[in-house]
Amino acid sequence: MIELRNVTKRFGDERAVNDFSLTVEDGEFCVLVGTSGCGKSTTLRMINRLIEHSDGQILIDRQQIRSFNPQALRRRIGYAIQSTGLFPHWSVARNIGTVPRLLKWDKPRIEARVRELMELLGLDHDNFAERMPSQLSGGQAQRVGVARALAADPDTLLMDEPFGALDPITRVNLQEELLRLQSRLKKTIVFVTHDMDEALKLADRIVVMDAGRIVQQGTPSDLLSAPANAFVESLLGGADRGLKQAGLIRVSSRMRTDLPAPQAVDPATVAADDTLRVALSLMLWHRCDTLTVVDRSNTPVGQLSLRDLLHSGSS
Amino acid sequence: MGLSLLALLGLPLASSQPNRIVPGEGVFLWEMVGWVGALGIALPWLAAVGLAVRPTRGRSWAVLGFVVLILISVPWGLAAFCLAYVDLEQPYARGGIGAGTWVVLFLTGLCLVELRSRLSLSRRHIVSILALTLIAWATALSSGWLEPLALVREYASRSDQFLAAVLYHLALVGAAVAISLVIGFSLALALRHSERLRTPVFGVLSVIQTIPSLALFGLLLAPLAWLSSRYEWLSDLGVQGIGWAPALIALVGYSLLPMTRNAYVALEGVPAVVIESARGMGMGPGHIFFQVRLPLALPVLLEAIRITTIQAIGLAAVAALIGAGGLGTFIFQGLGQSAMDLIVLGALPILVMALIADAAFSALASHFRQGGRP
Repeated sequence: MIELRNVTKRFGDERAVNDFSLTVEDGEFCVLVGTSGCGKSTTLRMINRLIEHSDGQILIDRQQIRSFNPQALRRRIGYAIQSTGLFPHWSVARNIGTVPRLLKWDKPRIEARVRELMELLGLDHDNFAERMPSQLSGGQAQRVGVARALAADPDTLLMDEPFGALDPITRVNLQEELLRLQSRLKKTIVFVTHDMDEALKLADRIVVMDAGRIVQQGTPSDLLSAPANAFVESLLGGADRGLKQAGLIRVSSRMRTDLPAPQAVDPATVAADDTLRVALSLMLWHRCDTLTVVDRSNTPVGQLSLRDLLHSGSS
Repeated sequence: MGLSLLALLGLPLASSQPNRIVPGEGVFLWEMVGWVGALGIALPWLAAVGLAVRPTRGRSWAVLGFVVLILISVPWGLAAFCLAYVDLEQPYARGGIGAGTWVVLFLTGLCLVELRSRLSLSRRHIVSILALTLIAWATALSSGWLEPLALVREYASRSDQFLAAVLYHLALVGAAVAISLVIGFSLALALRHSERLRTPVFGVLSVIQTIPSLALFGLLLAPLAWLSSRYEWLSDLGVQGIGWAPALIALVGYSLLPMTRNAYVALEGVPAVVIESARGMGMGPGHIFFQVRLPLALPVLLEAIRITTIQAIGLAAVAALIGAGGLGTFIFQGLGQSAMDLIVLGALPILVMALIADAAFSALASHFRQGGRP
C-alpha cells in the first residue's frame, strides 16, 4: 500500500506538486493522467525517492519512505521508464538481472529468474537473452524494461510512460499484456501517462492531475459518466466520450440469454467478451439492430439488441 | 589506378647516385626493362584500370589481386634495380627510391582503402594483405640485394641508434599519453562536479594548445634549467633545460586539452535516461560510475587517447631539437646534411607508428562500441 499525505514538492518558489494526498491499495492499478508539466512524473519519482518531497509524508506499507536507505528502497520497488532506459552495453539477460545482482542473489537463482521472466513476457530465451538492446524493436525493448522492473519480484511497480515511444499497434499489444500480467501478479502499480485512452484501458483508478493537484479521481466509468469539470471532459475527448464509455463495458453484461437460440448462420455475431463499442460498430457495419452473441468456441449464447446496448439493467 | 600508371611511366622510379650528397640520376621504367618490358607491365595495368571503371564484385576482387601483386613486387623491383644500376665496386654508390615509386605506393594504398569499403573487407583481410607485403619486404631485405638502397645504407650505418631512437620515441610518447590521461581524466572528473571551474580550465588548456611547439620548448628551457640548478635531486633525475624533461612537459601540455575535453564530453555524453534508470534500479553512485557511466564513456575515451597518441608521436619528433632524442634526431640530422634518405629513415617509422596507433585504438573503440564488455 502506498500513501501520500499532503505531499508538496517545491522547485525554488514553484510548487510542482501541491498538497497531494492519495492512497493506492495493495493490488490496485492506479494511473496518474494529466498534461505534461502537471506534476505526475514528479509525484511518481518522489515515491522511490529519485526526487525528495519537500513537505508531507509518503508511506509504503505504513512505513515512512524516509526511514529507508534510498537504494534499498528502490531495489524493492520496480521501476520502468521509456525504452531508452535499458543499459545499452549489457545484454538483455544482464539487463533483466540488474536488481537481483544488486541484491546479491546467487548466480543460478538469477539465471532461473531471468528465464522465468522472459517466458512470462513472451521473449524467447534462446533467441533474445544474449542480444544487445540496440538489436531489439521498440516493443521488445519495452518488454525487457518491464521484465527488469519485475526481476526481484517487488510488490510495488512504478511505471513512467513506459509505452510512450511505441507505435499504436505495439502499444495496444503491450497494454493487453500488462493487463494479463496484472491479473496474475496483482502488483500495486502506479502508472503515469498523458494518454487518457491508455488510462481508461488499464486503470482500476484514474487520478487526473493539473498544476500539481488532483482534479478528479475515480474508476474509468466514474470519470466518463461524471467528469468533474471542463478540463477532465476535454481530456476524455469531448464527443467521443460515449464511445469510450462503451469501450469499457463487456457485451456479456448486457446480452439477453432468455431468448430462444437463433439460427446459427447469422453473419452478424459478436463475442461475449468484446465491448459494447465493438458491438455498436458491428451493428453499424451490418446495418442491423440485433447481434448474435457467441462464446469463444463460436457457439451462440445469447442476443444483443440496440435497445439492450443503450439501456443498462434488465429493460 | 589510372594515375598510378601515369606515375609508373612518367616519373623516375628510382635513382642512382655515386655518393650521398650528389643528387641522383632518375631512371625511368622503360630505361630499366626496355619498351617491350614496359609495355608488358603497362598492359595488365591498363586492364586493371578497365576493370575498376565499372566495378562488379568479381572485377573488384581481380583489381584487389593486382594491387596486392604490385605491393609485393615493389621491393623485388627495387632489388633488381639495385643489382642492375648501382655500381657495387664503389662503396658509396647507392640507389634511391624515385618519385614514381612513392606515388605508385601512395596510389595503391588509396586503391586498397577504396577496395576495402567496396568489398567490405574484414580486418583479417587487411591484416593478411599487409602481412604479405611485409614478408615481401623482409625477404627482399634479407636477400641482401637491397643493400645498395640509400635508405638501407643509412640504416646500416646507425642500426643501433635506430632501435634506441624508436624505443626512446615510444617511451616519450607513452609516458606523455599516460600522464596526460591521468591528469586529464582527473580534471574531467573535477570539472563535472564544479561548473565554475570549467571555463577557466578549458581556457588555460586552449591557450597552451595555441603556443607553437618550438616556442613552448624554448619557454621551458630557462625555468627548468633554473630549477635543476637550484634543486640537486632534480638534476640527479636528469631534469635539465634541455633533454627529456622539457619535451615530456610540453607533450603533456599539448595532450591535456584533447584528453580533458574528450574525457569530459565522454562522461557527460552518457544519456541521462540511462543514469536515471540506473538510479531507479537502486544502484549506488559507485555502481553507476563504474558499471554504467565509465563503460558507456569508454569508446569516446579511447578516441581521445587515439587522437592524443597520434599527436604526441608527431610532436615528439620536434622535441629532438632540444636534445630530447628520438626519431626526430634523424630528421634534423638529415636536414642538416641535406640527406633526404636520412630524413625518410626518421619520418617513415613515425608514420608507421602513427598508423599502427590509429588502427589499434580505432579497433579497440569499435569493439567496445559494439557492446563488448570491458
